[in-house]
Amino acid sequence: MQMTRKMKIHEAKAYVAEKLGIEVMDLTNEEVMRPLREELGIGTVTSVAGSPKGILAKIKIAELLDIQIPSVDLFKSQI
Amino acid sequence: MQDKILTRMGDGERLWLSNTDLKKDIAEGTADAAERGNVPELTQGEQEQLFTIMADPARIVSVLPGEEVIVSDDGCSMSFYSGQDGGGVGIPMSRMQAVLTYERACGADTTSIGHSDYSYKPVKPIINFETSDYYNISMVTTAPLFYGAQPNMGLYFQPDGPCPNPSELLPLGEIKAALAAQEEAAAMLRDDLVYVGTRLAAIGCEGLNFDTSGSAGDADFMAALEAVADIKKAAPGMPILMGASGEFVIGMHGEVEFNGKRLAGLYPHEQVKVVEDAGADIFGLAVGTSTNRTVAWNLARAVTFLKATTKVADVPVHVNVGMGVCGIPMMEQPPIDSVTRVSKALVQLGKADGL
Repeated sequence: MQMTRKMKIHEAKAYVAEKLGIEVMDLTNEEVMRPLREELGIGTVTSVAGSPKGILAKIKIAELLDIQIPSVDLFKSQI
Repeated sequence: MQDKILTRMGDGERLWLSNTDLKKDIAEGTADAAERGNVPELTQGEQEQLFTIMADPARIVSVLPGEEVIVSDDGCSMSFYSGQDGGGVGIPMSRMQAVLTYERACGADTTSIGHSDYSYKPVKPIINFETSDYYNISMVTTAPLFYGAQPNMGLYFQPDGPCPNPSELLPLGEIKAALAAQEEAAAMLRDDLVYVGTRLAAIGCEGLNFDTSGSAGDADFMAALEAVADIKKAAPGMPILMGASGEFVIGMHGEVEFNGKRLAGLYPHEQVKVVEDAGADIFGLAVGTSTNRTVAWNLARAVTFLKATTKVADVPVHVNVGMGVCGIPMMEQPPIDSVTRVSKALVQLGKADGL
């Protein structure tokens, strides 16, 4: 959100938390974020076979946060 | 409260300071920054808070839950495979392996690649290699992937480049020739930055980092600003992080401007406004560490400059906390006690949006 919307840290956290449907405090709570990231398919730290990572996870992140990611735009334009 | 506090000098040397001496260093550090930058000193309460951070007996300190900020990087993954002079640990691995290790094993918020020389000029002749590598890596990374390097106008002067060297001309009194050489080099630098930036934008670059802008002075800073503006016109969707190289823009030229603003002598709270004018998305603040003063003195200066900057900034401000910057000791292996104290103070007192 800082890169694509020039948001300051508190505004960026609030925006992402709202999109994820969680409290701001939980953005750094592994107990909440680990299963949520897997459920949303936006990439996990530990590798789950078959779970999205890389460009597929970025496509989902762009949709979830309603942002444009240049690599995603390029990839989608080539499908 | 213990009588003596274990702390460090700006070169990393450990020393014990009394409470009185530590508080004195904080007061002197903030006063020095305030006088130089014409910005407010830290309040008494903020100086007390900084003292508490520095006096914490724990080796590692941190912010409170919920106060975390993100960390952008300038070639961190290069440190996996590069050598000592790049802060590298020399593991034989590819760029892609290094980026993915940094992203997934270290939990990095952003990742990046860049030319080993970490300057834009040498990227130009190998742009096809760089765009190819960038594209391949961007397909497998999940965190934002920057392409980073330094504008580094010094490479355009003889013997490394085509322009006469102002450092040789100035001592001879060849003032006009020295100014002209910088203007010529700045135009070349701007062209190269735009060339590399637009080529990267064409293959879906997620973020461009102009790291250490202004290292060769105000004309270097001007070229970077002009290039940001040019690239933003050509590729408005590609985020740009523009970082500075010091607490003020060195007036090697003295007269160059950007949008009517003279660049020589700008302090961080003024630098951020011209960076915003150029269209950059994130500003990187840098304040040099003095090796013969304590971390407390250096950190008080950095926090003072940062607080004044975040107060007026309309874009996020990320603080450079590499070796010898913003209170981090100037040494090859910055100690974790200093790194965490600096990070905590910059976030809690300086209101940094990122590091």
